[in-house]
Formats: sequence, structure tokens, C-alpha cells
Amino acid sequence: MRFGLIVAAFMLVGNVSVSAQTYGRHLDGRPVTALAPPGTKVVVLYFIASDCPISNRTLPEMLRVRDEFRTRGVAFHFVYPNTTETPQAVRQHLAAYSIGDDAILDPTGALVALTHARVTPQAAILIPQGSRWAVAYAGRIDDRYIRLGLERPQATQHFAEQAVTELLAGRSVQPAVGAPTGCAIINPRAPLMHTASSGSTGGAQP
Amino acid sequence: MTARWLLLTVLCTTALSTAALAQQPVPTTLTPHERDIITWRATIAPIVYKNCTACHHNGGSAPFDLTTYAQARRWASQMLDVTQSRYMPPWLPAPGHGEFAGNRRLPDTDIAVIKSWVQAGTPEGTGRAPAAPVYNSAWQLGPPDLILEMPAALAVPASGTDLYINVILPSNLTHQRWVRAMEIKPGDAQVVHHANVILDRTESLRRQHPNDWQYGIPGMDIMVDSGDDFDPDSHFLFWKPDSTALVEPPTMPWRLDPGDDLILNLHLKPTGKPETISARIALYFTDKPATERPMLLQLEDDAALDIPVGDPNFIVEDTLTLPVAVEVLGVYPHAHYLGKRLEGWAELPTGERRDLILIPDWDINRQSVYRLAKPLPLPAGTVLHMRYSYDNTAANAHNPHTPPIRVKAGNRSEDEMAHLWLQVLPDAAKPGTPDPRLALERAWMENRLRKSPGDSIALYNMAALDTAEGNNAQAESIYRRLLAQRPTDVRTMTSLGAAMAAAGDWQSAQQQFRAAIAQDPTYTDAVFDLAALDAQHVDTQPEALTEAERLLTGIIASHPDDAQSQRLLALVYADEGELPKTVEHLQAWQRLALADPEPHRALAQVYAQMGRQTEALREQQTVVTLAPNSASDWSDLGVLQAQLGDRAAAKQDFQRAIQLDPTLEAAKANLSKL
Repeated sequence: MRFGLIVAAFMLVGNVSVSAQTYGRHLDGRPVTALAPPGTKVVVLYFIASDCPISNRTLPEMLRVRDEFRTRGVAFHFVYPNTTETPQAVRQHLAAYSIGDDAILDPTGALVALTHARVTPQAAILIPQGSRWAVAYAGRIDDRYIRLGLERPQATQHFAEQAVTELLAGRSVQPAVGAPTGCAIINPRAPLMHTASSGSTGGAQP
Repeated sequence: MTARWLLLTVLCTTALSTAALAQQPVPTTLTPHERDIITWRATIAPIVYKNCTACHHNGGSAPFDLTTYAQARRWASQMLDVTQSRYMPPWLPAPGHGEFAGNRRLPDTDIAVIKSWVQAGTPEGTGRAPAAPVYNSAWQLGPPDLILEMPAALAVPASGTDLYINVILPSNLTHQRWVRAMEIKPGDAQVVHHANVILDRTESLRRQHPNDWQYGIPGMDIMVDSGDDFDPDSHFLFWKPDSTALVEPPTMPWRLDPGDDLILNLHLKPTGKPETISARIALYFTDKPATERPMLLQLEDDAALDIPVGDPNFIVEDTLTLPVAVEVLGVYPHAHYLGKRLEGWAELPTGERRDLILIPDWDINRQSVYRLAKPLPLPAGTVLHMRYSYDNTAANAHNPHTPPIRVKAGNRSEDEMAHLWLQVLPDAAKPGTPDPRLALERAWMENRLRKSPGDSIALYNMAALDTAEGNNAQAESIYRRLLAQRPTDVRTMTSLGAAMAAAGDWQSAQQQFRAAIAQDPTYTDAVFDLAALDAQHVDTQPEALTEAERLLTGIIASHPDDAQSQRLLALVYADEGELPKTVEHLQAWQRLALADPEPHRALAQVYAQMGRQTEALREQQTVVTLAPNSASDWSDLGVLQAQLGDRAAAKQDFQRAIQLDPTLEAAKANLSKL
């Protein structure tokens, strides 16, 4: 009996970890089993961090896009991918920046692995593809930040907004331009940052 | 009398940086063995503690803490990026072009070490970890002598472009002080990017915005009226995120007078959520006045700033020949968002070159004042040079205009500027020779007029220089030229009156002041100057006394803290024989000038005239307390003591007077009469 219980426990853990239908956790610890209800045309994941200044400074743009499209069949989630985040700190952050309650903690990196996000802030825009979600756009939210230490007075290109607009119109999405600039995601499943990192000393494009 | 000085006060704060920050690979000089032993404890922590944690500590101005291994590991990727690009630590000057105090440029080897550490997986290492520096939020120099606070908190929106706001902090002093140190606490240092403090000696900015000055006045650069006396701006009062207390050399405190405003020019960066700023300024005083008087000198050519669309390398230059020998103490280059390469140097009379500064990739976001590691002596005849380039293409990420537009000079952040400020200390003048700063001011203004003959500020200051040097006819000529351009400018009208009065044509001066008052009855300087002139000429114009009384009563009704008006009105009442009113206004003057013996001296005389000897004695005793080395005051005290019957005290007073000044005949005569 003892041997059988151990096997049963092992099997249970295995089921959870390999589940393709789990997308991080809600703040109360419940797993996120669906990113959006059936019929949703587009899902926007904003990868953010409570302690990242560029992420915070970009939040007004993220909220602007959310408010523009949230009633038009687009679902939005603010994903906190860093394993260092705590539910309490995230709740404070949500309140301080008037984000609302669309937060997902991603300590196991499920969404990081799905989108290959490596920096906060970054947008990953998903569209349904059969029973799965496919990444239609992954990259900068706008072009204000070019690399660490180089930013425009204001954004001239609003990539996330453009991508959502194109998807809703049935057009193909323009590929991401420039490397996302911000803070490296601290998550075992995040791509390594040591050679071509956030601000990128070599690969940034304006 | 009035001879106002107008000085452009330059500020700035700002912005973001231009492309191509040091993308060159940093040479790695480490051996494989050295790379193997690079750990946080052994190698990285000392570098971080020396170069980073002044800002990057809990509660510091940087957005995250780097005082622990865990924190450094969390931000290791960013540390690698920003040191490779030399974005951090922030330091714009190129090496080898001027030696500056507080150089924050990271050595190449440190950059290589950080790279190896990050690539090795940020090992912590073993052994004893160095102790992290301890930071606290207390004032660095202990309890301040005076703390100035913003009259109202400033709201910063969650998003948008950077903001440039000027906040006025009245000093509310009752008597003159000398400031030996200043510390600014900007409130939330993650919102305040840079700050400059400008002295407004005439409340000029407050008067320009009478209804809303408490809430901040937008603008990257401002101009203030420097007031009646020639005492040009002398110190860079600059704050950046790692600034602590700004301590001046013991010989160079800066003067702060009653009525002076401190203007805090703030560069604010929205953080993503609404913020409020409540900045405070701590001042530390000294009893020792300045014995050395530096001056801020400017090279500029804003008039040449007319940058075409698409020009990647628009050049602006200026030169200024030093009329006197100076030592350069600091430099402050300033351009806005299109600035690209900023260079300043000096060409000695021998032809030798001395670099002042070179910033190859200008970034207004990281602008700073640079204090020289040691003073740079420059002989008279040295030619100062400024050469700036600007990039008005779309490839300049800092360009505030999309698409680019033609840009000219202006105070808004989207305009441009071409300024190179120097803090210079002229060689000490020989006794009896003019203040060498006058020669520097003249050279500066002549240089401005060479570039822009109609420059009204330069013309005004040239006229003020002429007045100060006794060239009243020349001053009158310039003021008339200015009035031809701006016939209703009340300040120039008043200054012309002052020049007329200085030349002896006091009746024309009266008419000029009356014309200025008719133009603007609230222009206090004209009102005061006319009253002062009236009071001087009651012998030939007895009716002028009535006018003076009326004018001064009007000033005091709206400015009860105007000490000079209180004094002058007391003298007018004395002339009219209204001694109780004289006492009333002398007492008001005395309350506004607590350390000044003069109102007590006047009160002693008036009380004596009124037969109130005891009160006269009390005032005269205060005089000698405040001015213990004045022989004539001791003699006067002796007279009052004698009148009240205290011959012994009177004798001591006369002897004290004679001891201080053996040639004082009055004291000797008084002593002999005892």
C-alpha cells in the first residue's frame, strides 16, 4: 500500500506539470486553465515586473491599448513571469498602477515557454489555432525604448496596438522590429540573456 | 539707485540620449585564471559598492538596489548591458579632455570583470564578503540652519514626455546670510531626474506669475532679473541623482539676502503611475563672508541656432577672449535633444591648447556640472572656444519631432540651446582697482553684441556697466537706444532715470521716474527711486517731501517688509519733524534688519532729540554690541552716558573710542569735558 501511494502521488504531480492547458496561476493560487473564453479573437499577454522601471513606465501605453480593445473580442492579461514575484507584491503593484485584476503569475514559465518572452515589458499576442494558441506577435509594445540608456521623448510606433488592429482586420501582422528593452525575466524557462540581452549591446534597432 | 542687471540663467534638465553610445567592444585584459576567480565576494562587490550603490540602494535614487548578492544577481544582465555600453555609471566626458572631480567613468578592466562574472553565471564565491556601504535619508551635514520647502506638492502624471518645472521657494530671511553648503532632497528621486537651483534676487519669476507661482512654472530654461547690485551669479547649484551635500570652498560661500527666492528647476520623469513631488532644500550658513568671488561666464550662440531638417551635423561655435586672468573651477555644457558633440577648450596667448571638456555623445538626460579636479589657470588674453554639433535627423532617437522640423533657439525642451558655462575665479584685484568681474561681464556682453547687435539683454547690461563705472552719458545713450526699441519698458525707463540722476540731472531723472510710474504704477523700483530723489532735494523742492511721503507710504502698504522703504520713510518723517512716526518706521526697519546697527543708531539719535535719553542709551548700547569696533559709536555712547550722569561709564566709553581710533578728535574733546 505504501508503495502504491507513492506511485499515485508521483503520477499526480506528473499530470499537472505536463498539462498543456495550464497557463500560470491566479493570485489566489488557482491554475489558469484558459486564457480566454471560446470565441475570443485575440489574446494579449503583457509581460511585466513589479520592480522594473521601464515596464512601469510603459504601463500607461499597455492600459491604453487594453482600454481601446477590451470590448472588441480581445482578452488581456498582465503576466508576472519573474519567480521572485509574490502575490502580495503583485497585488500592491496592480493597485498602484491601476491595472485591475487581470494578473497571472508564471513561476513555472508556462507562458514564458509558449511565447519565448525574455524581457519585461514585452507583448505576446496570441490567436486561436484549433484548440491551441499560436503566437502572432511577440516583441516591443512601442518604440520608445531602443536599448538601455537610449529612449525617445515619446513613442512614434505603437506595435502592440498595430498588431491587434491588423489581426482584428484579418490582415497579417508585421513582424516585430527591434529587441525588447527592459529587465531580464528571472525564470528558469526564460531564454538566456548573456549574449543578446534586453537592451542588447549589438542587436538593437530603432 | 537703480542699475539693474539682467543675466540669463541657464538651466536645464532633461532628456534622453543619443544613439550610438559606445558600442565598441571593451578590451578584455583578463587571463583565464583571473576569470576563474571572479566572484561577487572577491571582485564584483567592491566594484559595485564603489561605483553603483550611491544611487542603487534601498531608498536611493536608482530604481533598484545593488547592495546584496541576491539583488546584484537579479540585475546582472542589466549590469552587463549598461556597463558594456557605458550607459552606467553615467559619465559623459571623454577621457583626456579635462580632469574632473568625481569622475565616474568605469575603468575598462572593471567592465571586463563584470562581463566575465555574468558570463560565468554570477558566482557568489566564498570567503568574507565586504560590508556594503550604509546609506540613510538624513541630511548629510547634520541639522540644517534653514530648510526650504515647496509651497505645494507637485503632481506628476503617470505618462507622457518628461516635464520641466520651475518651483519657487521663498527664502523668507530677515537678514543677509552666507551659504556654505546646500543639500537638495527632491522628494521621490525616481521621479526627479535632475535639478538646478537659481537665485532670483528680485522675485522676478514670482512677479511674472503672481497667481500660480506656487504650483510650478513650466520651462526648461528661465531668465531672472539680477537686481540692483553688480554681483553676478557665481555658483553652480546643480543636483543629480547621486548628489549629496554641495559644499563650497570656505572662501566662496554664496550670498542669500532677505527677499531672495530659490528657484528649483526640475526635470521630472513620469514613472507609469501618478506621483507627487515635495522637494526640500537644506541650507548651511557661515558667519564668514566670501573673500573670493567667482563668476559664471557663458559662451553661446543661440542666434546661430537655425537647424535645417535632416542636417546630421549642424555646427555652432563661439569664442570669448578673457580680459583678465582667471582660474576655471567648473564647466557646465548645455544643449537640448538635438545636441550631438559638445566641446570646449582654451587657447592660451602662447598658442597652447587646454581642453575644458569634450562630450562626444551628448545626452541631456545625463547632463551635469563638471567641477575641475584642480583649478585651471588661464592668463589674460586666453581665447575660450565652444564648438557644438547638432543632429536634426530622424535617426537621432532623441529628436522630439517626428518627422523632424526646423529648430531654433528657445526655452522649451523641443527648442535648442548652445551654451557653455564656466565658473571662473578672477585673479585678485589690486587695492583701488576695479572689480575684475566687471571686465569679464563687459567682455561677455560685448561678445553677445558682436553676434547680435540688437541683443537687448546685452545692451541693458552694458548700460548698467557704464553706470557702475561712471560713464553715465554712455549709459543714457544705450538706454535711449533700448527705449527706441521698446518705448514702454518700465525697467529701462527707470534705469534711464537712474543714469540721469547719477549724472546730476536730477530734475530730468524725476520726470523720467514719473513717466515710468505712469506706465506701471506697481513698478516699485521707479516709485522708490523717485521718492529717494525727492528726499535728497527737499531744500530746493520742499513740495517733494510730500510726494516722497505719499510714494513711500504706498510702497509700504503693499510691501511692509521692504526695509529700505521703511528707512527712507523714517527719514522723510524726520525731515517733516514727525518724530513719533520716525520712531515707528525706524523700529519697523530694525525688525527687518536684525543684525544691522544702523537702525539702532538712527533710533538713538531720534530718541535723544525727543529727550528720551534712556531709550537712546539703550539703542546706542545695541549699536556698540553689533559694531564693537566703531570708535565714533563708542564716543556717542559716552555722550549719552554722560547726559544720564554716569561719568565713569562715559569715561570708559571715550577711552574705548580713542583706543580704537587715536585720531578721533570728538572722543578726545568729550573726554576732556568730563
